[in-house]
Amino acid sequence: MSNIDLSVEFCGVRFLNPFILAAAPPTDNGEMIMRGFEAGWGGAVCKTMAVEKEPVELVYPMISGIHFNGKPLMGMENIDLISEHKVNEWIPWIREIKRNFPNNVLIASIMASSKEDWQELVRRLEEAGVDMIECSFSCPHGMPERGMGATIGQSYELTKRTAAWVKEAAKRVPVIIKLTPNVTDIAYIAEAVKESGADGVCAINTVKALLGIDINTFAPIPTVDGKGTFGGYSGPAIKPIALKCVAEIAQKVDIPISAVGGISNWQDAVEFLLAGAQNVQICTAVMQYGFRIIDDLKDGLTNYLKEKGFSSPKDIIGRALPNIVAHQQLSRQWKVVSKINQDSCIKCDLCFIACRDGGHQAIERNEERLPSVDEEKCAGCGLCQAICPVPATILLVPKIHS
Amino acid sequence: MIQTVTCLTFPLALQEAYRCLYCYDPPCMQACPVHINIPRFIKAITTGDFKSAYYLIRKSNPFPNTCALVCPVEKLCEGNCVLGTGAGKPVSIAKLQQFVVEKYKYPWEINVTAPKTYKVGIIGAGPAGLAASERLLEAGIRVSVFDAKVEGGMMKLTIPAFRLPVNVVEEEIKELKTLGVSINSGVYIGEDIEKLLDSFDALLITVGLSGSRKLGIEGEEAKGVFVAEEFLARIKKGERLQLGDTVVVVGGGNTAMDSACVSKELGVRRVTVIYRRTWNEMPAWERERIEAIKAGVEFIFLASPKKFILDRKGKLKEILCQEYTLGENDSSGRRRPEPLEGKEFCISATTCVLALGQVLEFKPYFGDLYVNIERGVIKVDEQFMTSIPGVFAAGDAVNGGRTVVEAIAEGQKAGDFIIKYLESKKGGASGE
Repeated sequence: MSNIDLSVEFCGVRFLNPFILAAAPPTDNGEMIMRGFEAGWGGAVCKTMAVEKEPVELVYPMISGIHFNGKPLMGMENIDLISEHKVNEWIPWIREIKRNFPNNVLIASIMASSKEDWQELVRRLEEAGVDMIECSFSCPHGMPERGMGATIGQSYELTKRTAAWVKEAAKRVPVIIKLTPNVTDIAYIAEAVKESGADGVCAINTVKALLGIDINTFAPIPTVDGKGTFGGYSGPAIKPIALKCVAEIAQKVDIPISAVGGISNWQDAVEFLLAGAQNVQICTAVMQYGFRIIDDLKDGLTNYLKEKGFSSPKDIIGRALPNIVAHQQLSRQWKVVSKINQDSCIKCDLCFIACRDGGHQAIERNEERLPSVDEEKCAGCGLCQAICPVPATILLVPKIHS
Repeated sequence: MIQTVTCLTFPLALQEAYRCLYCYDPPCMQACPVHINIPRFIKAITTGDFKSAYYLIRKSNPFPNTCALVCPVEKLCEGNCVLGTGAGKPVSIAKLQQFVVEKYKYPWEINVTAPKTYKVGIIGAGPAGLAASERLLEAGIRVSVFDAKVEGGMMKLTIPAFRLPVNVVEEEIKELKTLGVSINSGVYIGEDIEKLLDSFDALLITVGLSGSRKLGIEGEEAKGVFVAEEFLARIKKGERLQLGDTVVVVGGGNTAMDSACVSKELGVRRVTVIYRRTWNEMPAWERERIEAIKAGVEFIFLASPKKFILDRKGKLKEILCQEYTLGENDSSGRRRPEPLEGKEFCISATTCVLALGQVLEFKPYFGDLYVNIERGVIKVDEQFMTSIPGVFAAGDAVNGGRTVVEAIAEGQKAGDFIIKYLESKKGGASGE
């Protein structure tokens, strides 16, 4: 595992590796963060805190999950709020964390309802020794009703104004703004952050969702005394949404990005780096499996970089961006055709029925149920490959014109 | 000891059900003789629609729990599961079926829209006869089932209890009775009922193979020598047979394995299977052989009893065996066992069980019916009709002895053909 340096720089701060614990329950006190650092996480964002007078009244249960094919976890929804621990509780923890882990990056996430509160939080936390400030303009539930969280992040003006307040107060440390995906154009809001003078963005916070409805009681899930509310959706299900948001910001706005949203393994992390993120934050996967997943993340990323001939994660940041283009720029000359590997095919015939009822009726079966593609009829749409249960059994190969 | 298949717990069943790919034109369903819609019932488990799961199974099979326990699924549904390709593990379809029918049993009803006046007599209350009777009832036809022994046939008589508990079959038969199947047990056709054809519009013979093959050698009638079917039936009934400490089972089929395993279950110290051919030619299913080995059964191949040697009281003491070698292939495609001149040995035995296969026990059942018999089974056409018009036959008595599920499938098909036959007869008779 030698000769690969996993360290990255973000807004002028050096991280031992690009893996950061996101502002969430795994970082809700000093002891947890120190265990995360002990495990090997490059950085941690404290669960969002407020000034002492800000009420935080939690409800229970606050978390529900959606399984996929019987296994947890495709997605998770929470109706949690910010940390119950106020800034005065956090300050001694911050001092202790930094004393024990001076080389790990500690980021304080904050939320406030007035200019005075925003700026007071920044001053007190800077003084306590945090390395960076993250502002939550993005919590989709609980806080917006009070003019906080996503209410700010959904408005260009409020984002720009509030970010500027925070940046103005921060004398020593960089300021990043955590954005909500629950907007029409996230790059437009990232532009407001850039305009404000803040140093970077973090994208994305949870996706506003209704996880489910109990079909017996008609109660929303999670259910609090028979009632429920819209909450924040996270986990693998939202990864494609987050990836799109990060790539969109990276293409349109010249600002450093910390990526978050559904990242569960090193492959996800690589994709986000390729889409322009400088580092990645992780929450749901840690809530599911614990801090220990950092070993898998670091090993996987190291092996990948080595195998591809890179020496640092920095080498791959944004490398996919030139390939992400507008739909009208895609080649109309490019034709592919589906090829079925009949040796690895297990003859479930799902490709046959998918193509017949959802495609171009281009797959035939022989008397032994073995499917094959009629290349004349195959449009190369990709449906058969998308639904085939055996990896690498259906390939889309370029069609050669005679 | 050999364990009865235990029912899956809910979490395990769910996990297993999720493995099913929901194949198109599913090979498991094709391989199932009664064509249960396996992917649909498994998908219904994953969505919690147990009612649909149960009905999808029950619709195709009146003995769903029995079949879940005794079907040779490794050759049928599971053997054809696409996930079993290569070194893969097929979906445990039988266990999922058992899970549904044991834990989510719903009332089953037959809704007759147009009752008919026909009466059909069915001789033999085994799986084929009872499956046929359900089909006929569904069509509004009245059915009387007769059985010389007990209702349920071999399912109840000879399949060992560790493989198929008696109450499983009894409950399934009870349901059929509730639906309107009337069963008269202990009735010997030809002795108790005359002129059957005058009393019924059609007959179905599903008597199975209730006779046991014998060796025809000296000492075979001695005390301590049993035929397997009788041996298994008496033990299943709870009779305490004095087996002694050395049981020798003759034969290589499932019944031989069952007899050996049951003997081990009863605590017999030494149980040996003697078979004329070798392990490779044994007709017993893989899992039954493995169960026998696990139970500690020993095997002697290429040998067969020549003479039973008795003690002074006429009780079995030893078996004189002839050694064999394998010659050319015979008509069954297996190498023919040929005796080795002068090669003999003696093996001591307190009990000998002859599991040599079953034969049609034709005579006592239907006095005035003379249907054509060919190669030891009742000859039928592709519509399951015998040489006598209006008399049909199905199940082991026709196919030579296969599985419970195949008997059910044949019974269902025969039932459908009987309905067709009766309808066409009516059309002809009334000149319409």
